[in-house]
Amino acid sequence: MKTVMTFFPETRLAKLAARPGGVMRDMAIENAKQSVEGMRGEGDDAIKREMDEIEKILEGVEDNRIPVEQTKAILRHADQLVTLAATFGYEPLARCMRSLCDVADGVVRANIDDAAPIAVHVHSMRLLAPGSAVLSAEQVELVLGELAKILTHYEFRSIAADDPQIPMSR
Amino acid sequence: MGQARLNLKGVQALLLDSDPFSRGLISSMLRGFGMDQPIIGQTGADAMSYLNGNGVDLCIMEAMLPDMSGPELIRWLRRPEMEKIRFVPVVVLTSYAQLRLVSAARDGGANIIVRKPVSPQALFDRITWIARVQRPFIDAGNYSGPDRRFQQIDPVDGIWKRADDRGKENTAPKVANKLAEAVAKGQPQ
Repeated sequence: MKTVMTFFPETRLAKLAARPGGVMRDMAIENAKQSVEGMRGEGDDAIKREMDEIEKILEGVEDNRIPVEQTKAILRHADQLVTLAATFGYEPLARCMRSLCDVADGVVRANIDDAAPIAVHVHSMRLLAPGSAVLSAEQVELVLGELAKILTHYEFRSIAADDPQIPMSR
Repeated sequence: MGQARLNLKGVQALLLDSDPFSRGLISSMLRGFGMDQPIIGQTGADAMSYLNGNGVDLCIMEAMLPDMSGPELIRWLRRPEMEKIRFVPVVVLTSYAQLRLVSAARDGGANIIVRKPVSPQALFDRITWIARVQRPFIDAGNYSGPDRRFQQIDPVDGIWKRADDRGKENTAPKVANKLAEAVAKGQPQ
């Protein structure tokens, strides 16, 4: 029979947090939001850097064939861009980068070296980047809709489809 | 019901993230909550080196670090040899491409998993929940960490509000003990 031991540790975090004083929820969140907003300039710079990195990798591709290590590098940069774009409210760019993550992940998993689906995303990335030409909501949906077709065409599975949706991740 | 109020002054957090901008973002949120400047690390090796000689009150880490996965690091941390530090609450942050690591993080012993981008609301509410809801810690040989069977409920906002709340019986440990006994005996729950 398996021995299962159960502990009820009182953590130092619990003890400290229960002390009198401290910050009310709304105030704490407002303080944090202001801090995040104060980083918008740095965030925009970071977005630009990540996009430049992706483009640099793609520029080095020959004959539309991309080595797996470079696809993995694009996946890392695109993943970082999802976080950055969503943090600062650039939702079209965030959606485009989620799609790029799905495609890059699909390329790696399928063990293929086709750079075309990645290249299309990178062109769209510039179109949807902050500071680019302003697209209407319909135009944005059109671009993102076309990107979605690429995933379907290659029969890649979205990373989000594998999200276990367990309660603790809410 | 009143708002949650947390006193996080003096709470020492260890923040592990390979990206400098993400580290800055989370650090600034924590400071906004009234927490001190967190200890910053980039890799699992950084964390191991620090935790071998120091304690922390909260650990916030990416699901995938440059040299090891978050779940690997949590399993190292939850070992009995780590004594008191093994109970430290761990928050795992997952980016979009790391969503497949959610189950592994839970089974590695994470207290809670938060998806990036992390909003101040989500982070504050999860820290409140961890600080206020006492969760049993299970040591079952192949798993050491917070009890994975729990109901998803919002942080209990009314507790510790009144002077007589502290005297009230907390039945959670008794219920969890019964569950653990049932598991050990192989009884259906």
